[in-house]
Amino acid sequence: MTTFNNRISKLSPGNLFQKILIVIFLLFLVISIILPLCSLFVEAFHDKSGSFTGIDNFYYYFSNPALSQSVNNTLFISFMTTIISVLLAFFYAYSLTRVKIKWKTFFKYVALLPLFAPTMLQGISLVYLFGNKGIFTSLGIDINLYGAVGIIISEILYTFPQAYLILLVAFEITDYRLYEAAETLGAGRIKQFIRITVPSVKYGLLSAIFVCFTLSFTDFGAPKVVGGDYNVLATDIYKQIVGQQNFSMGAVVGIILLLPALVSFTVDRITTRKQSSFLSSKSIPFQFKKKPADNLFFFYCFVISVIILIFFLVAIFASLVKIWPYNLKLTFSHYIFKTVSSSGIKPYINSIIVSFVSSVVGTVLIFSSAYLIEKLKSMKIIRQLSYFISIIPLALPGLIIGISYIMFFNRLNFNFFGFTIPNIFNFIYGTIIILVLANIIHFYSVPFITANTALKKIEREFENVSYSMSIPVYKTFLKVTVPLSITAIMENLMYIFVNSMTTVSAVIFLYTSQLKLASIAVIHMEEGGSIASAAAMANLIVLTNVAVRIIYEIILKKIRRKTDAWQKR
Amino acid sequence: MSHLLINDITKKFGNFFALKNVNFELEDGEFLCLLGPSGCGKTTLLRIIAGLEEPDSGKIFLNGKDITSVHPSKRKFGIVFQSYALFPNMTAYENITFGLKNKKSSKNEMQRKINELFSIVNLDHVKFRYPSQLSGGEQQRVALARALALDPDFLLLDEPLSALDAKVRNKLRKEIRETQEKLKITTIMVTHDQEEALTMADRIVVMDKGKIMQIDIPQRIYELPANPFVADFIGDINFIKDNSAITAIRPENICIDEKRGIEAKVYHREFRGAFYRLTLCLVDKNQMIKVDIPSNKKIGFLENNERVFIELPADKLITFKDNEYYHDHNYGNNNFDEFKTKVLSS
Repeated sequence: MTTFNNRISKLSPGNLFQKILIVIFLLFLVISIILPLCSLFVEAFHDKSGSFTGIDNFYYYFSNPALSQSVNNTLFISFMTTIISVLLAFFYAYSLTRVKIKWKTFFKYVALLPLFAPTMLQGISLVYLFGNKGIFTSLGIDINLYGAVGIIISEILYTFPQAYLILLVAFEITDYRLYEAAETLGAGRIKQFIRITVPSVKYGLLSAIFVCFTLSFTDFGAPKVVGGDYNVLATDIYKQIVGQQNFSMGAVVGIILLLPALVSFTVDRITTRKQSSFLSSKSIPFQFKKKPADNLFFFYCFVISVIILIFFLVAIFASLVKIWPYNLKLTFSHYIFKTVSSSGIKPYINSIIVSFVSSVVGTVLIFSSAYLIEKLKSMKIIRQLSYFISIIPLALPGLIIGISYIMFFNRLNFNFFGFTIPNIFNFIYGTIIILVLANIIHFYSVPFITANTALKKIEREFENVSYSMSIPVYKTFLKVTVPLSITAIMENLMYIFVNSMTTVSAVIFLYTSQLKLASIAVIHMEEGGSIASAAAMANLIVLTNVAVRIIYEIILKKIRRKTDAWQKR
Repeated sequence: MSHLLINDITKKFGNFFALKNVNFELEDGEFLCLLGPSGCGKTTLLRIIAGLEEPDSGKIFLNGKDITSVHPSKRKFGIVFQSYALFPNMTAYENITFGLKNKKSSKNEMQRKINELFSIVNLDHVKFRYPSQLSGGEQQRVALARALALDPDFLLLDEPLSALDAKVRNKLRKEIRETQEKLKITTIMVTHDQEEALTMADRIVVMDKGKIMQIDIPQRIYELPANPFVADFIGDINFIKDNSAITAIRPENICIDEKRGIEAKVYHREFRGAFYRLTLCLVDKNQMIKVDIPSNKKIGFLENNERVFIELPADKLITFKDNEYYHDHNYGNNNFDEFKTKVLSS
């Protein structure tokens, strides 16, 4: 077999080029995912001086109550967040998919709003509402914000849209014939809910639970702003690495942080495979019928979306007044960042540049790699390996990427059994390249899966047709494959951009003072007490993301109009 | 010299022989059908000829030149896939000319070529429509025109008509054959539809389980099948066991009589439009037999369980030298036992 492949490839430069390319992509994935992760693991089993210590670091960590308390704290936060967030999202998604209520479009978009904001924004708004000088606090309502309460509320807001999106898809995959059958058998609304609705979304529910748990377990932004003295793992890592330069202990915390993500990753892989088999071509979409309790569901959605909106409006309003809550005169002064930070508006510009480059380079890279993995016929092992590594980032919290990147790229050389190998990738450390790379890898898997799904839908014989017409493969790729996948490509561009704008966890370890990003500036200004300016910067991020989303929708509409002719199937 | 020579091709998937020592050749301009049940290896063979799969052993020669290891893009063939694989984002015109643009031919020549193609496949009125806006038959013709656009050395058709309904299929059979004859292009078509093969092909290669069962012109395949498999796969046939020898006869060749011949009882009668299909039981032989009688002959007198006599004209009897496949496939009349209990015992 292999000899034959070689014989054929000699005769076709295009095919050879593809093979070289897929190997390069695999090397890229190994260097930017596998090797840094290895460094992290190696670091966890060595002490500060670099000698091997086995599990001593773990032992030290767990025998030190000041450190291991964070594990309990983080677990508590994550459990509470998950239960509340999934419950809220479950009924929200249920209301939007199974009940006849008004304002559905409005509810749908409001629920997505937190996706456009860094998690610090929720924290900042909470401070304005319930903090030391918050409105409610001044009215005598003290919820004891700083600590667990504040973090949990922020995390609920942060995880709600994620859980909602997963459950929305789960609810949309339904077969109305089941409900018709139940009706003919005389089952009431509640019985239908328990016996049909809940079982039909069980995989979505499971997936939502794990996603919420992992996100709140690893989030850095909210605990940083409203955590107070309440230590969680994410802030611990930051303190260990940035504060004490204790990389070994940072790596230990990192590995603990990775555990729920690994479980979540496994569950997610299993459930996505199972859920898709639920729907058959004969399924009937859900039919809405007016029912007595409908108004209750409307009220429920209304309350939740108002709460979400309040958080955003408070942040906007507070950033536009002189001194909250004492002097409510409108002013733009908080948007002139020069007064509170020497870098001024530059972090925002940096963020836009980094996000734009990440999204364009990332999308091109991910799509071409997904194409080769899906369409190349030979090199099966390399393709499978590439596929596997491509979905690993799904399990990697940003903090892990950040610290493993320090540990790998900051090294000048590596020691292997006495040999010293210089690190040729060290040059990207401290440059924009490492920020872009961290973003691309951090957000690699979701666009990869999107691209993979889109490519799977494309007729397998197109490449063969082009062979028979002697058309070079790259031409078929550009003229057929790319146009047919244009919506997936657009989606990926937007996804990486929006997430790169809001993220803080990976890049907080990698930025330099020259390359400070907007989300990091939010943290710094909040730390420095310029909370209104922090809110202003967070608002700029949200505003940019919403604008990008609107532009995306407009372009998508234009593309749809153009492609409507051939997309009817 | 043969135009295309398939020499001893073998292909295994794991332990399964998809093709085993396949040999045949094509003359220039010939239309050959690869016919067989699904899983017989015919599509694999076509893909090997195209270069989309690699054989484990064996060679393929085009005009005497070994092309076994030549990349598909250098083989100069046109192909129509079962799914057509039309580019959905291109109009019929763009689909057909996509390959032409890649060739450095003069504008005039290209235009002449395009006009010729469109008139051949009769697509002028749908030139600027997208595949999704075309009927199944039109899509098929676009795929054919696209395959022919680059003046290929040979044409490969992979079940090109199987996605179409019966009426359109019949029409396109004729069109494809006419186009092929007009261009005198060597063509290999894969099909599982025996009628398609019989009506279109110059010669048919009947395949089963990766092996060639028979290669011949359609009439001889039908009238003189080389073995029981071919006899059974193409058309209907009765096998008659006579001691150790096996003879066979087509249902339409059996004569029916009221008084003389072999005694039989009517088991079942079926109206099939142009003819009646009778299932008879040969009382002496413990065997069922199928007989076709043109519906313009009155057989109103035949009721179930009625006694008739049949004659088997000697010149229509097929005798097989090679009985191997008979036992493999168990071609006996399966419902005989049922008949015995139901009818004969009463």
